[in-house]
Amino acid sequence: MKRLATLPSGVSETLELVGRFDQALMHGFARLGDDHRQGLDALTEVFAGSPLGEAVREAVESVGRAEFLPRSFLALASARVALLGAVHDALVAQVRTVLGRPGSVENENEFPSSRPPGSSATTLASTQQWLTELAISGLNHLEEPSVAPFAATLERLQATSDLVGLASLLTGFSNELLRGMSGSGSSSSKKQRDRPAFRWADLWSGAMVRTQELPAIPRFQEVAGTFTPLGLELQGHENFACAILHGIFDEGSARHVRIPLQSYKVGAISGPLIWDLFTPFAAPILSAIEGHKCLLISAGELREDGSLILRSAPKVGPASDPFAAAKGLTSLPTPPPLLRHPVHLAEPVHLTERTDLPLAVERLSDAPDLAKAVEEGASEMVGLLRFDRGGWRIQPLCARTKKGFLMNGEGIATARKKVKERPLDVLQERAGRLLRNKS
Amino acid sequence: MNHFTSVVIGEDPPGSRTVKSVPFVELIGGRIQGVVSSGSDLARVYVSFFEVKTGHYYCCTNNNRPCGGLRGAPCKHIHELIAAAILEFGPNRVASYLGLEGKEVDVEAIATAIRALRGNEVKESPGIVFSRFLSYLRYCELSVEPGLVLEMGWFPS
Repeated sequence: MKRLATLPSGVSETLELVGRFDQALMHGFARLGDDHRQGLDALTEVFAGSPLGEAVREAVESVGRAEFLPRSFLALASARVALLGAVHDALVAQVRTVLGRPGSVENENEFPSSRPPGSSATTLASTQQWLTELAISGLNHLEEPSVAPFAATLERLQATSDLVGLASLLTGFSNELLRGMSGSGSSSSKKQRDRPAFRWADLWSGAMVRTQELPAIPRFQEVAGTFTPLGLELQGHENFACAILHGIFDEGSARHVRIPLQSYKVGAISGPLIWDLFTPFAAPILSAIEGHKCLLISAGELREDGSLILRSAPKVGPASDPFAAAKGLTSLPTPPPLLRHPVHLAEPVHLTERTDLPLAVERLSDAPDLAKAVEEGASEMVGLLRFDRGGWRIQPLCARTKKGFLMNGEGIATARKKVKERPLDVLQERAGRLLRNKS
Repeated sequence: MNHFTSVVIGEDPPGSRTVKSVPFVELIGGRIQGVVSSGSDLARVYVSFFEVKTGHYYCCTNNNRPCGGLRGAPCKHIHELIAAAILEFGPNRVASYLGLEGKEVDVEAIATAIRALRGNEVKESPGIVFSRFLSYLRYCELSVEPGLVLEMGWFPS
């Protein structure tokens, strides 16, 4: 693990280059200063001779002449995504060497191909246009009138089930941009300094490259077997909720998989209430986590991205031992090249001694008890190696305690029982009445 | 630290709140605005707003009848709306929306700031807020295909 403290060569330099691009994006391409122009020239140099080289050179020249075309910003976004994809690949190679796990990253032609935009072309083009306008103004200088009108396009994206990745990303991004704006019209310079430039540039470029095509249809095999939970990961924002249950799936041979559950939602549905969105899977999953039990899966779809899709509600099985099961930990598959980014690195590990790696506190706000157990020196844990803030970090999923073990997600089943009102039912009833009256 | 940070540490997690009395509240356009249920009639809702810079306010039914509770001051619906906003978004976010800075930004400070504004009743059609309410309800009806949403890796909750 100590070897993770030294980054692979080129990673720091690449991050610096990305950081210079981000300054231009925050400041706005309509008002580029000399520093920003030099940063963009550096980008042209790095890509010279590569497949993106010509597109990046043309884009930099064009924005330099104050010609702002979506095509140019798509090329710049692709350059930023490619740089972070390269960082991702170098980090995957590093962590797999350190852990003695097989394999480099999968290469491009092993992935099913993505599809042309078809009937979504117009919606995707207006998304590109909006992202272009954000870049021209600069993410530091946005006001409500430049963000709020995107809502109409966003509704169309959300209604396209093929585009849930892009739609949920942009819903979160535009919420975040709007949230940064004060209602009283004052915007202090402190606020500007605190804006997360790297993150917003991630979201901007990630969205931009996803406007070119529809994702591939996932390939899968039908499976049945025993699933030993390792811990829950909760993701989402005001309008989207994801619960990802990590575990070892055994159907003869064992491997690490994740069971994903996801849904759109409104802000008032949060905390334990989000599980109302995940019927009929919520009850058996939460009960298995709470009771330290396995899940018996009779009908599942094991996809190439390492996710296990449940076709019917699983049954709660016998007692589980996550640390014994962790001997079957394997790397999760790497995403297709366009979607690679260090933020998606989640290398499962079983640690049997204390680690010097910092806790991924940014991913543990829903797991205070687990974070505490690890900070107090748990002797053994299963977790995910993450990369952020320029270094490796550890996100525990479950940890050994005096009484046995503590797994993330414990307590949700109990908390859920205490909630009397079911906001989802109340709102759905309202929606039923009002939305159908309207039409 | 902003340097190369993809995932920021979340603000206070929003609190759960009941939605029976206030199904919808949002902070947008310099306003706290939303929809409040009528205590007596299931089919009726009140559409209210409170402008945070001026203290101007209004409340009427979705059929554009002025709320009887407006007598030269915000009615109980507007107070309910603000209370729901504090529950849903947390006092810090509401205070910062009001432009309050510094450490003393608890619920009491928000109430004081709101009382100090002394805005006027400004009549306005409920159309826009009501249609935003319908868009909000739409989130409860959107369906998602099963599968991992990789992009949510940027949004741990």
